Amino acid sequence: MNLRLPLALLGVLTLGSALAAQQQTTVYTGARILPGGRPAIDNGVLITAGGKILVVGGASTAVPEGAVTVDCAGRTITPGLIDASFRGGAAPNDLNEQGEEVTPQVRVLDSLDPEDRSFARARAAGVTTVHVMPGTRNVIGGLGCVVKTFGSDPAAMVLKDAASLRIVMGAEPSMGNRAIRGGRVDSIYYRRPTTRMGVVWEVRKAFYEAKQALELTLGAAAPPPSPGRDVLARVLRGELTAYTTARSEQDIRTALRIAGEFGYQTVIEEAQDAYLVADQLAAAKVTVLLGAPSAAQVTGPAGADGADPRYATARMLADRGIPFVITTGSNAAALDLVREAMFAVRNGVAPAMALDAITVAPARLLGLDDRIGSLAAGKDADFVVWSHDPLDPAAVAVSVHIDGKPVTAPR
Amino acid sequence: MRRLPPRAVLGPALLAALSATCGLARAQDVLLGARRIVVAADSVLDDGRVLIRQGKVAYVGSDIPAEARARARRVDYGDATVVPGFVLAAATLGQERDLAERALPFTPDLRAAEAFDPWHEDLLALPQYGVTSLALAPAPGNVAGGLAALVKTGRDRGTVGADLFVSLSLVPAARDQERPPTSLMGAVELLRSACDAARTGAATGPDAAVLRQAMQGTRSVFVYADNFAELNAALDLARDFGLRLVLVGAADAGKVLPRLAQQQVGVVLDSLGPEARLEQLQLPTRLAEAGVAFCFAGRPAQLRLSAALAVHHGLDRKTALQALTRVPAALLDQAATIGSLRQGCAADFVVFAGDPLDLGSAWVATWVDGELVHGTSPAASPGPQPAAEPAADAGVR
Amino acid sequence: MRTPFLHLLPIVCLLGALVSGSPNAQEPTPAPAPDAAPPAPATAPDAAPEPEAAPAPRPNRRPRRPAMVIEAGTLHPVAGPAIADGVVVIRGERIVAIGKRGEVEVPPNAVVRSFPTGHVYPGLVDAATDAFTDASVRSDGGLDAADALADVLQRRHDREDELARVGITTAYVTAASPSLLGGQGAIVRPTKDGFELWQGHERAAVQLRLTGGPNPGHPLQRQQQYDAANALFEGLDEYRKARTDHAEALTKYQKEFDEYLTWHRNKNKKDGDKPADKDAKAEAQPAAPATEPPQPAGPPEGGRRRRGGGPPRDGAAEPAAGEVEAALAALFGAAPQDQPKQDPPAGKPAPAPAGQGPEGQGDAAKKPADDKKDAGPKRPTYPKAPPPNPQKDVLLRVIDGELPLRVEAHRADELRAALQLQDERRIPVMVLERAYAAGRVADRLAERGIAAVLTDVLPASLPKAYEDFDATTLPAHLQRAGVAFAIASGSGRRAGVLPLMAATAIGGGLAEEAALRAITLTPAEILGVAADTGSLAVGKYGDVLVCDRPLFQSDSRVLLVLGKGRAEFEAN
Repeated sequence: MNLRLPLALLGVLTLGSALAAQQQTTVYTGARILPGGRPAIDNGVLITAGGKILVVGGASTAVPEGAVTVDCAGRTITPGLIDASFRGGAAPNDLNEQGEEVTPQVRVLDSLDPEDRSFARARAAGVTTVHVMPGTRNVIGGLGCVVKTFGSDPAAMVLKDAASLRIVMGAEPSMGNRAIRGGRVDSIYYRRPTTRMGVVWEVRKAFYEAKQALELTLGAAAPPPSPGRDVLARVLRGELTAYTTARSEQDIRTALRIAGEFGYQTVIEEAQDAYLVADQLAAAKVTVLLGAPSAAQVTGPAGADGADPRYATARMLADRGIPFVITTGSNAAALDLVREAMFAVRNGVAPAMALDAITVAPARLLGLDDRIGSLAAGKDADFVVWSHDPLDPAAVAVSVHIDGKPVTAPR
Repeated sequence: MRRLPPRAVLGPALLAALSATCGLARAQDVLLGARRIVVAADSVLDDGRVLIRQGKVAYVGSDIPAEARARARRVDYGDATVVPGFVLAAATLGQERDLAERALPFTPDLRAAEAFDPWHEDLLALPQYGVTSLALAPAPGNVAGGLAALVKTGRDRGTVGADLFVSLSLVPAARDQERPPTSLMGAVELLRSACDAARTGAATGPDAAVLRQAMQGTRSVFVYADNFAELNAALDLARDFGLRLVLVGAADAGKVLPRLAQQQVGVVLDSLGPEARLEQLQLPTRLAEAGVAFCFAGRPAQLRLSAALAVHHGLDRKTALQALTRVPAALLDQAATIGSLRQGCAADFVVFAGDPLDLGSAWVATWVDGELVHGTSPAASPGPQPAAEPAADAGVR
Repeated sequence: MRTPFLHLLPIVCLLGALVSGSPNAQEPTPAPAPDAAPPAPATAPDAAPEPEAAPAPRPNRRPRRPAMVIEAGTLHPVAGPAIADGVVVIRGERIVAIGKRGEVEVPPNAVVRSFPTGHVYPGLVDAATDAFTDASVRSDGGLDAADALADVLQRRHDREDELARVGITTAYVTAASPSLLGGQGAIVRPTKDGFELWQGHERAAVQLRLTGGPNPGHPLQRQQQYDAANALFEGLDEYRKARTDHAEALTKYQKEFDEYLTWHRNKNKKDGDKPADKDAKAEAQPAAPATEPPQPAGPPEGGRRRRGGGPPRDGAAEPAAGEVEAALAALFGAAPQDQPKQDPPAGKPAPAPAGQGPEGQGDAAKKPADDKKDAGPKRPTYPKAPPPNPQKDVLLRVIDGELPLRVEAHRADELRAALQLQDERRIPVMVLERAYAAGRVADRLAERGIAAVLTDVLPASLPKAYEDFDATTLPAHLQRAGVAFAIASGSGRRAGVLPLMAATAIGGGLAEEAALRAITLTPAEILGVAADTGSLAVGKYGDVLVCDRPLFQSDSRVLLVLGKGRAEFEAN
């Protein structure tokens, strides 16, 4: 009962400050602050102005004059959460360019709809930044982008266009294709691949051609430019990270093998069977984007991949020192991002590490740790005020702020 | 079948042929009179006269020389109101199937003029809705559909004129699930790489030439786009490649108003019906307030209703009439010849019993190129004339 | 006005106090809810409908709602020619004066609303709308004639229900359901926060659908549809006869029972004088109602025997039976002492005598047994009522002309089918809805006085299959043929364009006055409420629409809407 009044008060204050938030200096006092990558600060003070964080400090921090003070006693403040593999942002059809199997040059940013409901749901769950990749129906899907979850224009929301190149292993990319057996004969789905072999062949062929072109460019006769090949060349040169979706043990091995063959950097995404290939993962020094560790099985079309998720995978990765990030991924059974981290804690991951796996770690992986993922002076004022410790099952996001602006209705 | 053999004749030649056959009728000047003649939205003649010579407006109001006035055949519509003929900025006239090359998504160099059917019944019905010119546009089934053609309605059938804008499409119809591209990002990527290739010279051929014209600003670009993501994508393309953009459809235009105003983008709205949602009905008013040029297209039969509904929901009459006449003509880069009755413009006009934006004003007649093509002609002698005498078998066609 | 109560005062002290106290109690509240107004005229039923009589007997009503005066640049009363510089005076719910400014007496301390350039019209009447119905009702295919839409209307809180703000003060709500019978539509008065049902017109007409819609099936299917409609009226005469017979049987039963009673009473008297004063008392009680029961000759309704409590449904026959049985009980010496309290057990006389005493019951049972031997009248049996059929009850009202039959028919063949139905079943009042092809049968419609409700009077708003019909010129055509027609929105979403529809009809050749009449007085006549609304005339409700420009101009704005003199919408 006595929770209501301060909550309402906070709501009024945050809403009231919404308009002026960009310029107004705002002080959040009394909360336990988990800045990310650093020890927690009890009874901390967070000062924001102009959409950036001015100061994060203890109770003794000097408060500038004329600042609006928001009392957050009893609450916990964390950095805004980052979902490094976010399913949503546009209608599913628009996330998969199925005209070809290999479309490295398409940019998911072009499809993003800022009014998609998935953004509102993510905001309400404390997620302030998401990494959206093209869908999983293509072998090489295209360029992912990192956007904040609030804004009226994709161009204004975007933190990093062309943040990743998605490659998909397993059965999904071959699923809709078929051999000619009746039906509409000019269908684009009469094509390779129809098998796992075909999928790998497509990847290898694309990279082979890109590598050939790269070597030719170094030589005398330049090949005709091709936007797709240029993207792959950037991967080969190490300017762009490949995110390989691989769920089963077999697919993870394949992903690592091809990356090794062509010598490019990859991140293993989803990786439900990571516990079976820990040695190889450790040896390849790759980061693992663990998709929905709370799910007991992979649902949807990807279930045919045959991955067998285990609850303890996250702990195992932590124990082996393999860098990992917790995401909601493409599993429809995924919970809120913070609940996924909570689930990892329940299965043995240290709370600080679990929280880092949805804040600092993805920020570092995406190369955006200078702006987001932790609370420190000069960074974006993206933070969440939680009613309890965020890893407490009772925790709800009381208010979510992006660039200092409250972006959810107060609870 | 009364279909003529297909003609691939360009506008001037055809006009010449027409004026030759109709030479007798054209020989005499016409002195048009009416209670109210709207020359353009900001120039209205009360009890004025317009002199028409060779299918064009030769003199307006007090400029008419006395001897020409004396010699001309008088056509006096009495209490009626004369407004410039309506212009449809993008229409497919029920020929969608013939106006999108379904096999390929990218056909910017196809000419809608080739698909023009002068005997199409939708075309023959246009004059009674007040439409005297239109842009026959490729249907939205292709990402890059082709070049629109200027079409004028006429006494028996229409005539096709110059190639106009290039028509692009980002709506779901262009994202066929059975051929690439299947997604919005694929469609955008297709356009972006094509523009890039055309700009750098990597791509040659007629399609690249059309895109180069668009990027140089000599040809405007009409993009079918409805929802927020599509509109944004179109605006981004226009910004990145310096296109002169006009959005067609634009149901969600209210969400990108600032960008529309800032990038000076024109909007071709779909026609409004009584079942339209309130946001749609109020969109014209909001566009006008934001300073965005817009016009109506869609169903020709609902053109006047659309304007009347927009007026009913707050649009001022002047802007509404512009949206039927001057704005579409300007969006088609044809403002010098159609969309108004200024000196030198084609003598395309519609006669109504009263203000065309009041549905209570009956349509009386439509003239194209100085000739009555549909409706009633007043008696040659000047004098009070019954404006609207509905046909005796009205209601039971 | 209070005199009718005066003689009741000594009898019913409480009620008398209430009545005499009520005007005082209302004094302090200057403007109570309009619902509080009816009680006063209700006590003097002859005062209400005549406005001349109204001001005189209610001087103490004035402070409750001051008279309202609307001055306008142009007044369009519909009932007569337009008045420049006109004035409408509304007192309470009704218009008390109308005329040119200066020529009409404006009451002192009246609220004056002045619109020097405004145009004043009567509140619009929408003869067909689906506002206040929800989608489930509109798609219900299983309605029959007895279903009343009035029972399920509710405000949906969206734009489609905001009829009052576009100037519609009376509307006929129909569900446009796909079934053959569409239930009974209701007349509602839209208000600023929803609607109120028009008392007495909650069940205003029966809907019948005689069309296959824009995509008709085989012609024979349409024939089947007609047959089905025709079959609805099958057996109505038999049903009516059964009902009449039953009513007659009831009368006969009453008479015979009276004879039976009298015979036994006389016999009792002869037998001994002991129960005499009891008899007298018992007789006094049923005597008063007993004079009424012998007249159930009117509408032969009900007749069903009700068990248990609750008010009897049919006033005439039912108490008769009850009273008779009570009298029977009294006759046999078992009449309870406290007669008035014995009211409820109408249907079951048995328990009352049982409570009185076993010996009374005893000789009551014995004596008639003896009497039977000396050829007294036999106790008649209560006549069995025919099974009730609500649908037939409603259709009988249609046949009797009490309810109009509203037939939706689009094409000419469907319209002819409707006319044939009227011939065959002799339906007195028929209204045609969405009669797009009415032009082809206009002469016959005029001849029979069938009115038409036209919707979709807008350019190019008919479905593709109907492009042969021109809805915009149809009103003018009907006008020339002399057919009464109303222009209606047809759906709540189109309510806002009702004036534009009338304007379209003008564009189609209709005179402006006729177009205005088609959205005001004519629909009121079709709906049967023309005595109260539809024009600006003395004695009608104060339903007023004020616009800043002539209604038929596209940019005309609604400034003020009054319904029964109360502001339902006001532009700010």
